[in-house]
Amino acid sequence: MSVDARWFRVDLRAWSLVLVAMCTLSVHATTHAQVLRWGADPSGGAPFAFLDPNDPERVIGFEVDIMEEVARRLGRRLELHRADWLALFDSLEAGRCDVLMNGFEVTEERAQVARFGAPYFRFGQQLVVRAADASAVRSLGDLAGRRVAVLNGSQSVEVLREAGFPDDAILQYDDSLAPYTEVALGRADAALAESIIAAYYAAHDPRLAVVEGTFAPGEYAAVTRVADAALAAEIDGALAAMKADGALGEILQRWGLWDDGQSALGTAKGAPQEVFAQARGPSADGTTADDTGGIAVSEPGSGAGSVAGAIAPALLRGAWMTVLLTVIAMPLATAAGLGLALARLSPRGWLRRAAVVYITVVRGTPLLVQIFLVYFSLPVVGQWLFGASPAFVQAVLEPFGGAAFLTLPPLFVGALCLAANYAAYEAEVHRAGLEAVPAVQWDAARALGLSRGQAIRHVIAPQGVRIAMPAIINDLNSLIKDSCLVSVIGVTDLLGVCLGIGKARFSVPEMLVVAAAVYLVLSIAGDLLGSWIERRLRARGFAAPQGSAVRQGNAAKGAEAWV
Amino acid sequence: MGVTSTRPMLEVRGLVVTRGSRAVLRGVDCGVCAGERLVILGDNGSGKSTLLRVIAGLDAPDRGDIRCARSGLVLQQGGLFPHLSVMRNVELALRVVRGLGAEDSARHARAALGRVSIDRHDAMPHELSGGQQQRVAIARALALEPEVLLLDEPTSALDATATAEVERTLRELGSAGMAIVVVTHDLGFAERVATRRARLVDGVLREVSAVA
Repeated sequence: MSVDARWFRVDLRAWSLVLVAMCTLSVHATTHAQVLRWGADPSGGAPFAFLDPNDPERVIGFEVDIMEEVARRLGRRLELHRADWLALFDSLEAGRCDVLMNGFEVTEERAQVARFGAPYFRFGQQLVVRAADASAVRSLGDLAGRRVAVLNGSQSVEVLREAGFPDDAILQYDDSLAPYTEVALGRADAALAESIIAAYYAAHDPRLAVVEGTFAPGEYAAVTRVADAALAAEIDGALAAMKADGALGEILQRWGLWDDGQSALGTAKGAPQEVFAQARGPSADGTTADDTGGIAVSEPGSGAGSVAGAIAPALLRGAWMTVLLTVIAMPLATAAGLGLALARLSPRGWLRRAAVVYITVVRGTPLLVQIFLVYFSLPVVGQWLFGASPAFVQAVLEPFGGAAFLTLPPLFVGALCLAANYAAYEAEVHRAGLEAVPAVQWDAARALGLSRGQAIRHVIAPQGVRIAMPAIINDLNSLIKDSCLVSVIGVTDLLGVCLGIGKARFSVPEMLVVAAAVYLVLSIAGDLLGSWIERRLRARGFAAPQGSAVRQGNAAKGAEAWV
Repeated sequence: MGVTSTRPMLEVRGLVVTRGSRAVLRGVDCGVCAGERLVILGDNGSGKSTLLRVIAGLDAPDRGDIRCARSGLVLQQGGLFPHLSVMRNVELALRVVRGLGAEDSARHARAALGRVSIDRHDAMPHELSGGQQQRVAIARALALEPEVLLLDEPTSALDATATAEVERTLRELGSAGMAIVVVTHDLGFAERVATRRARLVDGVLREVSAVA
């Protein structure tokens, strides 16, 4: 048997396995009777919901404690749906989760598109400046003409605008730690955020000073879909009970968040609680505080006392996710790319044009945008298709989630987007490979009586793929690193894990170095795999100039003539 | 010498082929009978290869009649499939085009390789000498049981020893009754292998002489 045939067959088998696994996953993900799916961004930061610095396999935070108590009172099992903070509203709309609780301030603008429940926390805005400026800056008024860093999309932006800050003086960042880093580094002069963020991220940093006093109070509330009135009422009921019986007050005390402002929301303080170590930052010895509750993302880690021991399991999980994305996406991209390349060389005009349009559009738009678009539009398309389908089709789709049958797991959507994106690039690589097959090979196949399709399958494609192999291996290397873009839809890949750990442990630069090192290892592994494949191809006599026919002319010309 | 008959296996009448505005073939006539070995000589660009491709059906003529029994074409430098072993090269068309099973195609392929004295069935093309590669290419054509064998410059990349191998093979096939048309610019090879020689000049084929 020829090597190529074996390769394709192995691919096919791997593919059917992956597809079966995906179907199982999607079925699994959509059978959630008594589950409360809570949307939050654990990479967003403390103390809301964040990775336990001492055991990054777990998500902890005061909102975790609140949601667990709410779910317990509703008799439901809590399930965390991760997504980028800015994408959480879309996740809710797309039906990927049922409720958001992740530091969402109640604003009029947001209240028009989603339903805000009763507030569970009252906050104020608080300024943080460099320690050297501590005496000079007492309020926003002292910062006129200077740059202030804030969290992208947060209430602080509006507070600054109303105070008359021009847009170019408001520096927006995608996570809550970055503004403080920027102040410490001198790129911004102050950071404005909710007091609880300032307390968690700035208080421990000797380069920074927290300006006394809070202002522009606001409230956090849980968010549900406008249509989900019943669920909203249930959650509000549970929260009201927790406020009244002191359960909420005790959680806030444990996280060091209690202040008199909370009473204004009707929250009873409850029994006095000790503030546990976690609320003041990661413990130096890496031991895990066991009274923090938290959502276990997986089995607890090894429990080794060292920092490395604490983060290793999460790191491995992240690396495994990156490997999984790559091994799913790359074979798909290679196969689809070959199909696209053949379509480009097809004698049928419409097929050629369709392939060119696909390749042009996909290569011409950012992968990040594609991932976002597909992830959030697929569920909507699915709901529409389901609604427009006749009853028997709906019955068939019912075991696959019914109207949510296209609400696919993030890993699947991420891998699909990577594959679809890379397919466009592989198409060009394959086209170069196919066109490099000598014209005499087309003639020889045709002289033997092979049809065009038979010639492509048995003669041209196997040679074209071999010629394209070094370029494909190169793209494999590139895909390993591009896979980190899927973290925006909540896939906790290597980079996502490292950033999460970095923010939780105040060590983003260190964790980025760790991430870079692991990516380097994965990339070297990819290269080794690639050279092994190329060695095997050479051992089978390919690319031996003596054996191959003279490289003359243009295979595509031969193909065009052969219609 | 050998078996010749007057039964025409290939007849070409008034063949005209133009490429752009240039007339490459301007009314070619020829006929080849079973057992005959017609060698067509001509300079580079004289249209020899075009004539062969048109006869084999790879290119379409502008005008003219071609009546040809089942033909097999051996391309310049063989055109072996570099990714397939010798055996697979010969078997491919038997399986894919003829639809033969594994056993039948292997039997036919072994027989064809036997006729050109190749026994390294599992070798890859690049592991063979130039002469052996050319003979495998001939066997690949023979496996489909043609009555006319067309060869385009079969010795262009071969040394003297390899050329002699191909000559012997072609003489043997001719003796067994195969009609053979060889295009070449190698005068010595033409002299040794031909029963008839012709020269393509200005798009017209002129018979040189008949040799025994």
